[in-house]
Amino acid sequence: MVYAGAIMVLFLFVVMLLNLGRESDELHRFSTRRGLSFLLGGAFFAEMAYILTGFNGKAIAENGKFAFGTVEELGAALMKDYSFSFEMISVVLLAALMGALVIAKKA
Amino acid sequence: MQALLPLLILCPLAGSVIIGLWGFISKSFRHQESLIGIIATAAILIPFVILATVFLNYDGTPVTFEILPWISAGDLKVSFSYKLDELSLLMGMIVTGIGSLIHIYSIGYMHHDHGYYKYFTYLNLFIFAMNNLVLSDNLLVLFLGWEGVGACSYFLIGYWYDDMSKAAAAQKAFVANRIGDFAMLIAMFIIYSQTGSLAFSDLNIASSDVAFWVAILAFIAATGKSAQIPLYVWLPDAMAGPTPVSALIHAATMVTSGIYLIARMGPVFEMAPEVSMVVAVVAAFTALSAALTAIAQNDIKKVLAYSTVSQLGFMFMALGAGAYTTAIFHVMTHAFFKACLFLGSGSVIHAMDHMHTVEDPQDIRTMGGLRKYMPHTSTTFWISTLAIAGIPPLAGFFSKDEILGKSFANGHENLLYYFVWGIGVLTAVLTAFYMTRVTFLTFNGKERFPHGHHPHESSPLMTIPLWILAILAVIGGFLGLPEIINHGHLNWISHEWLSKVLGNREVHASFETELFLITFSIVVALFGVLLSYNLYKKHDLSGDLKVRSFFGGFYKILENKFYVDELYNLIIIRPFVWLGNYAVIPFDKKIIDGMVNGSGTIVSWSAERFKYLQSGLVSNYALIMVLGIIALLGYVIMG
Amino acid sequence: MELTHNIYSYLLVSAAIFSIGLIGVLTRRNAIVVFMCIEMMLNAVNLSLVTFSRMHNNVEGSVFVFFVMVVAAAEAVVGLAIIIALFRNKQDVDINEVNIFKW
Repeated sequence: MVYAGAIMVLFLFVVMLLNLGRESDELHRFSTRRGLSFLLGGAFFAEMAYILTGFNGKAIAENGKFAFGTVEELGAALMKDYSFSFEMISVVLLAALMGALVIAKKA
Repeated sequence: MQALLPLLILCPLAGSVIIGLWGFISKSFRHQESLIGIIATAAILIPFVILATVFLNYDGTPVTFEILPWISAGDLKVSFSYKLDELSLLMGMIVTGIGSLIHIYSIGYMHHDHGYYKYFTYLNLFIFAMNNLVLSDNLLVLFLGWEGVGACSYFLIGYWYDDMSKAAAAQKAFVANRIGDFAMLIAMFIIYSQTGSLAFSDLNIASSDVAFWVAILAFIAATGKSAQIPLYVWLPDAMAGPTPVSALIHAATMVTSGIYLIARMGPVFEMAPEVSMVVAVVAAFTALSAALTAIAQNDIKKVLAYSTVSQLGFMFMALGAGAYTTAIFHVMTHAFFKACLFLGSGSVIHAMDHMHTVEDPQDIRTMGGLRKYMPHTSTTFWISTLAIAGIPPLAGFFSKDEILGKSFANGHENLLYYFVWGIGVLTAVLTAFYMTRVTFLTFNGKERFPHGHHPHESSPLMTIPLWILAILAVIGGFLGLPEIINHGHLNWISHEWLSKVLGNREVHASFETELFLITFSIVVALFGVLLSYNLYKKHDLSGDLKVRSFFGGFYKILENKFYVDELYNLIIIRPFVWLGNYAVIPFDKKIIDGMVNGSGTIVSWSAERFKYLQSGLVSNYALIMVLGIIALLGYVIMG
Repeated sequence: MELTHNIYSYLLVSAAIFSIGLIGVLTRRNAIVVFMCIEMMLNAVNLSLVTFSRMHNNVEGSVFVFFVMVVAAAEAVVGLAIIIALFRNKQDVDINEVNIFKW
């Protein structure tokens, strides 16, 4: 909901504000950088897959029973154990807001 | 008294430092010649008085004292410790006694010289080093003194350093000494590795092979310091220094350090008889060739320089014959008359220089008849000449005769020593001849210098030391009367005094042989003197022409000192210079400079290549970051 | 309710989304698009965090997700502000044109 409501709208606003033309067709040009980027992305995925599946590269078929995490639990944790961080994060948001204002101000 | 003993070493050092620093700092002090002279002389006289007191109260046990610990590294423990036994007392008194006289003389001689204070700084420093050399009880402090006197010799020979040839002479002396020092160091290493100690009291080398090497190396060191073949070439050139320096360093003290060293290492030499033979033969040849060269020289100081080399050869002949006490005896008598001769020549040079009419104040061909104007100098010079020629009852006769006697006595065991004796006798004749020649041509005969001014006698500051030394040259010999008188019991110096420390080789000659030898020595000495005197009295300077015709073509070789310097230049110096130019310099320029410059070049070359990483393109930066992350992850996966 | 899914598939999906975002960051030239890809990467990480939280039955993973989201938002805000300022000076948001800091 944060994403749909806030961040995406923000992006839309910026795009509309900048009123850009069409981006040159980077993706259809062939260059070393593009090839290397794809390669690196693939390598990264391979490595992560290897690590995340327990360092043995095989996809694991495991059936597990899990406890269900409720929103209630999350809220309780936030307010009790992590209340200080919770407050600080709002300060971070405030700082970001002010920063953005300052940077994007018309000179 | 014990508390005053460190002054023996510290006084000269203090004198040198005080005069040096004060003169360096204060310009006005440099002109206070009397004050400087008094400080310098006192710094030497006080040690002499102390030594004389110890000498007079000596009861047979060596007096030891220590100033500072020096090295304490593992098993090697060396300190600045000194031992006054019979030998070092005698040497110490010679050094400080004659040193004081020469200091007094220098006050007069160096009057109005620009670097007056520097001169006395160096002179005191020299006595400090020499005291370390003769009074120490271990080889390392001796070596300190050894090097120190070499350095001071360099300073003092090159004292008038703005003259390039004098500076070159100083460098020659230093380099020649250095070669000897290298041999000495190796000898010390061997001694330490064999005995674990550098003290003289611990010097007993068991194996004769090791003793051979130690002895040979010590002798090489001695040839450097005491001017024997092959390292003697610096001594004639060293005459470039002021004459009192020549008297002190190159006649009485420094050049005797080699003899002192070998005397101390007597036991080692007795274990290696081949080395003793080498010593005797080299010494004999040195003595002879130097005497021959002296005949053809016309510079008064050069004659005395070669005479010194020759007399040093005599001392080494004594060492080679195992007569260590005799060598020291000759050191003492030689110090007396040679110092007197040098100081006398200084007086003459001073007078000739003041006349400002001759081109070279040291050339005897422009002297003559100075006896009239310089009675003191003349008389003392004649006394010393007769002493060195070996005319009894002057000092030189007793010591020289003992040397020849001991060499002859060795001949009984080893025929080589007869040969050595023969050369010694020949040299004695030549000595008498050339010394009479130079004295006569300087003081007697026609006056060959341009008239106008006339020379005048030097100040009492210079003549009184001359007289003291001349008197010592007269009576000094009585300390060592020959063996045949009262079975040697009147030979105080060898039998009563030095024999406690130095073990002479046991050689005996019969009474008749000794008597014959003594008479023979007197005859040949008189022969030399009278031959020379008559020749030059009749012909004056043209007597040289007779000598020239006697030697024929050989005379030219003598005049040019056997071309030794040219020979060394060809064989040794030129190859070294070539080696330097074609091997060492390219190595230094190309390889060492190349390495240093190369590291700079590599850095700048690689920087030129690496700068392109900073392309400014964000995508590239991101790419490289991701590359790094993947590599890191790969490393984690691998292990 | 019992879930018998294979938990690792969630992690693989997270890894895949992250890689795609990575390729996007390296390839695209428009700054705004690069930002969107960065957001994508952050979200992939969120997914992975939640997965682990469920796997280990631990609420802290979810709390962390919460904070990550807030920080992502803040970062997006500031970043976009910078892009706007950049656009004002250069009339172009191509990231490869911003290359004055080079040799």
